[in-house]
Amino acid sequence: MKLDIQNLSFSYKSTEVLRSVSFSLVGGELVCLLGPNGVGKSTLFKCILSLLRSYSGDIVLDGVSTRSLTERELARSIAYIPQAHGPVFHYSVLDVVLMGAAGNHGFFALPRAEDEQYALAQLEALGMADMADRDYSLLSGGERQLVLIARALAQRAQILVMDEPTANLDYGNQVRVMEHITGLSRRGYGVLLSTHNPEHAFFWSSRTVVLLDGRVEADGKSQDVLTEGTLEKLYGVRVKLFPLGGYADTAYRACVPLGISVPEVAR
Amino acid sequence: MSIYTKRFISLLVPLTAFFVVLFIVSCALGRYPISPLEVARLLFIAPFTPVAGAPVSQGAIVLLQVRLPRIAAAALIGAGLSASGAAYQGLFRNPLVSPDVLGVSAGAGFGAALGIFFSLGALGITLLSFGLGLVTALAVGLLARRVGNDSTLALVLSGIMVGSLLSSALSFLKLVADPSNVLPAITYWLMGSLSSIKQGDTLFVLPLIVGALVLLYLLRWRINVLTLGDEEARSLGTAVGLSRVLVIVAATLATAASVSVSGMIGWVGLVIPHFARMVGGSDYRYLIPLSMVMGASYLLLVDDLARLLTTAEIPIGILTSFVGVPFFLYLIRRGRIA
Repeated sequence: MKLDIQNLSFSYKSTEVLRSVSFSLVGGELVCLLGPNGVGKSTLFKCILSLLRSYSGDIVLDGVSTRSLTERELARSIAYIPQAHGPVFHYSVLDVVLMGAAGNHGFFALPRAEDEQYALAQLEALGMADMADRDYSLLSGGERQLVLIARALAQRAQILVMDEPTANLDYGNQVRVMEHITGLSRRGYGVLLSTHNPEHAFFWSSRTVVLLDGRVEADGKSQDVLTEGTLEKLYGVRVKLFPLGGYADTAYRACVPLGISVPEVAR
Repeated sequence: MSIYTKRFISLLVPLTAFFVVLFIVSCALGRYPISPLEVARLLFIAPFTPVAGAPVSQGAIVLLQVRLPRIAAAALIGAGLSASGAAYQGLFRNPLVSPDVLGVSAGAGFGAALGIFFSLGALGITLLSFGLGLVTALAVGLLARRVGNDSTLALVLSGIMVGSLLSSALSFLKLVADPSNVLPAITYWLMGSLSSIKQGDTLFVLPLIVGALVLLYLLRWRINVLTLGDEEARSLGTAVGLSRVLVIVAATLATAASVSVSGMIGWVGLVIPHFARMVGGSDYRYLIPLSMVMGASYLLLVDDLARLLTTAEIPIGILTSFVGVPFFLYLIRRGRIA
């Protein structure tokens, strides 16, 4: 499946947020979207998910414009994974995953036994088979994020859009969640995720799209796109990139800020 | 069998059985003694085996014309208020919301008071009350669309505004009402009571409440998805606008129909859904039917108390508050309301 974003522009009232953004994503790719706060990443996601429809340009799924799709049709192709949140009500993990089946049947239909089996299988694939009966609202942030990923898989969509899936997670959970996401792209899912950590792009993405001032500033392999100059331009902070030669892949970089004030006692 | 079906049966079969027994026992209770067996025979066997020319017993008249309309109304109103309370809570993503949020009760209450003020008679009062209840909800809905971006907040705020406007109008009506007969009638009606319910009232609300309940029952899985918020629900493939409108229409219909015949019966729509959550969890696939069965049983039980506790009837609205408020405080203390 191929997602094609063509000359996408969007304005809130008179403020232009996105200016002819174009890039594409195919199954098996993991594309990281990098850009400073307020650059229009969330707006871009909302356009892709058809939550905002008054954009110009086009978003095309395997040759079909998403404008012509109903909610149900779109949900079968693109799944959205929000940041892990606490819902108002106490649902079990299985209930939450099952909600991925909301677009599978008719308007008044309930999920069926096969949807339950499929949902349980998705939990199992993420190593959470024994959590099905737990209260979702009492899980840790990392576990919740995995449940939401399982829900997206239960949706049977081929393209996964994730809004900062590692935000608010501790270091270990960030690594675990990113590893699971990489596993998904290996299984053939096309993944588009936003992140604020350049190292995530180096370690896990197959491609990186850099968004600045509502435009695509750069699009390509992370080691080509994310230079010290680009990162300074993006975040206004000088950084040094250290190639991690000898560690798995020469494309890996560690990103360290320059000119930081180290406390006296640490020197 | 799916996990859902198993759980559904294990939760609902015992509670429904309890409700049926309670219904029959309630029919047997009262000043004129009828045995529960006789009630069961009159309700479930006699209608299907008519004997031509057989004299109608006095028990049958008391049961079918006096007791049954009231008991059926109590069950319907209990189920209607509870299920709409649960639905509103899901829709507004707030477990402290009750069926009065959209100003429905205030509108229906004002309508009834107006009907009593102009001495319109029972049917006129019911119709005016029902009509004004719906019109108020509609007005609140339209007002909210013009207020702001956050649809939920706008709706709740508009509901509070219109509700307080209507209660001022109601106070004015009470001020100018004849204090010797009209004022007491309005006041008594506002306390909420099932004592004056006639066969005609029950037949009027029956299709409205049953229709609304069927719609809520069919939509229960959609309500689950709606509690995630509009954007997530849409990205999961739900037609959010249509679902919201249908849930609001069904819940408002049930509330307006209930209030129009019984007056203000408070707390049922808030307390019962919480009680149902304690029994069966938050999943609306169970919560909606559980709220219906438990709400019907609860109001039936409280109405039995209202009828039988003292020789002069206690308005049921007073009793539901006496039971509901302490129970709610207990829930808060136990931390069962998140």
